[in-house]
Amino acid sequence: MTGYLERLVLRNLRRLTEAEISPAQGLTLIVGRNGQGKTTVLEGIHLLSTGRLLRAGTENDAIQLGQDGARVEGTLTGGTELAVTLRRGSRKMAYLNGLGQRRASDLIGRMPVVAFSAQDLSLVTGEPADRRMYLDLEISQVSPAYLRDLTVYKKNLKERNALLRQEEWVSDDLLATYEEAMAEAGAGLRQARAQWVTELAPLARDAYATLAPGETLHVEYLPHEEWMDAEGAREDYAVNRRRDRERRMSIRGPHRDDMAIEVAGVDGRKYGSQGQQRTAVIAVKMATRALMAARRGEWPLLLLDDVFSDLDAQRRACLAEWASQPGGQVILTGTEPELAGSALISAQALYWVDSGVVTRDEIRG
Amino acid sequence: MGFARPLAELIAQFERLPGVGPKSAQRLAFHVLRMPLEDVRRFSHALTVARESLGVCSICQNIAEGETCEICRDGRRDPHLICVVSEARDIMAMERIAEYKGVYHVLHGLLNPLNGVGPEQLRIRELLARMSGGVQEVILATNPTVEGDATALYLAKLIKPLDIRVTRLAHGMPIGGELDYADTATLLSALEYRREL
Ligand SMILES: Nc1ncnc2c1ncn2[C@@H]1O[C@H](COP(=O)(O)OP(=O)(O)OP(=O)(O)O)[C@@H](O)[C@H]1O
Ligand SMILES: [Mg+2]
Ligand SMILES: [Zn+2]
Repeated sequence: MTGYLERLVLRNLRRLTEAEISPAQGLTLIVGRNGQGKTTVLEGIHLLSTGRLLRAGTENDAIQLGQDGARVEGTLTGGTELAVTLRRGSRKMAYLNGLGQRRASDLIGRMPVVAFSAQDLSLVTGEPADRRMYLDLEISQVSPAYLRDLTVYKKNLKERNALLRQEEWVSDDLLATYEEAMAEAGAGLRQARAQWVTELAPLARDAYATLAPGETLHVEYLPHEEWMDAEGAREDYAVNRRRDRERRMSIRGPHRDDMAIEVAGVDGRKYGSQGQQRTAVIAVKMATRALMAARRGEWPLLLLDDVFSDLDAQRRACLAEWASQPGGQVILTGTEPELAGSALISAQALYWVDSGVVTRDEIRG
Repeated sequence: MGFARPLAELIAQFERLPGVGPKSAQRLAFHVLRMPLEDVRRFSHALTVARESLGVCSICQNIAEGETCEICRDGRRDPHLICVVSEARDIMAMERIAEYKGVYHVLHGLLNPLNGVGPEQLRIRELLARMSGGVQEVILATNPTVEGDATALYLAKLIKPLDIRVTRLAHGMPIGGELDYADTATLLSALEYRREL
């Protein structure tokens, strides 16, 4: 059991010079006008749980202008303490119970989250890399073996690409050495991705049907090649070695995988309306939350950033109801509390954000 | 106003050492100026003697005084069993357990193409040259990192076809360590390499 996020402290993250939040066990609303610092709160939580911010851009950009560093701390029920620090011109650091970790990603899995923000639309509208990032991040949170395979795969891929870029001749034996490691780790990635999407697809379809009755959502894993085991991978890398030498990079493997997301029978990226795309992403995220809960036996923390803005009233109501179901911790941002509809009624904590200052609304207890 | 020429030169020399920045170099140089002349002479003598008399062993590439190292010269050591390590200091760790009776081979690094370290930059040719002398087993004792794994895998590819047994040091839970505190990577590898009881 990992427990809830009981307390969050943010220092010098964007506009938030110093903010402290004690989220409820159920639903917490964070409300404020545009540009006041609402998303920043969610970014801080995301950084703690995944080692990554929510929006694109470098981590340096998130450090408050005029400051050298930023820090986020979180306390989970049971007393586990997580912390991440950003420092200009140096590596970000992660701490578990005060102990420095080797990598920021070492915190992954301690406080699993599922997030939905404007950035996540790229799951439908973006490139294959965006969908791989989804798979990698979500599966890593429930499977340390996947995170290990991913780290090993990426490092060996980089080494192999460095060899392929060299001017001097590189022996087959040396290339095959890196292919070996990529094959073992890559097979682990493929099998885990296939299983994840197989379990995700029906959940996503149901979630979409609830949000938009009458329309269907189809999600499918698209491995770049057919192989699923290390044996097949080794062969594929070996057979294509000559082409890789010519192209001076590894052109095949799990680092080229993709996922199909079809709305109402057509590719959501090319043909989906904005509302459909948004709904598809929310459905995938809802399904992800359910799948993570099934795998871990407890709900991941759900972060919903400004979800209500582009949705019609029916979808809004549906989403609000889903977010306010008992059992999971949800942190939701919006410009007006009223937008949250029925979610507002069940909210257990309400925070106002104004000019980077976060205050708790005591009236709502 | 700058430092007197000899002092500036001394600072510059200290700065060339690994891990010594301008500030430490200055501190060290001023310290030398305060040392008794006799101590300074002994220090500079030790530097020269160490550099002049130490080289690498022509057999195993360990640090050696003379042509070969003490371990290679020791007749009680089994020359048919070779433990391959990345650095000379790894030999000291192995020797502390006083269990290993074979000899060593020092690679002086690990494969790392990203940093421009390929097989040519390591003492691999020297290792292969030793394989003709009736070697029975090669133990690969590189670290369980991506670089250590790749180096071990590459060497195995080269040595196995010669009909020589190739083994790798096991990695898993630290003895006396608690399951609770083991990091995830260690636990995963301990689980994968578990053995029958
Ligand atoms: N490095 C930084 N230093 C100081 N301020 C920053 C920095 N980066 C961003 N900001 C400011 O922080 C604010 C962005 O905060 P955030 O995105 O959390 O706002 P928000 O409340 O979610 O707004 P919206 O409702 O528009 O999404 C903006 O006012 C921006 O100018
Ligand atoms: Mg925002
Ligand atoms: Zn020797």
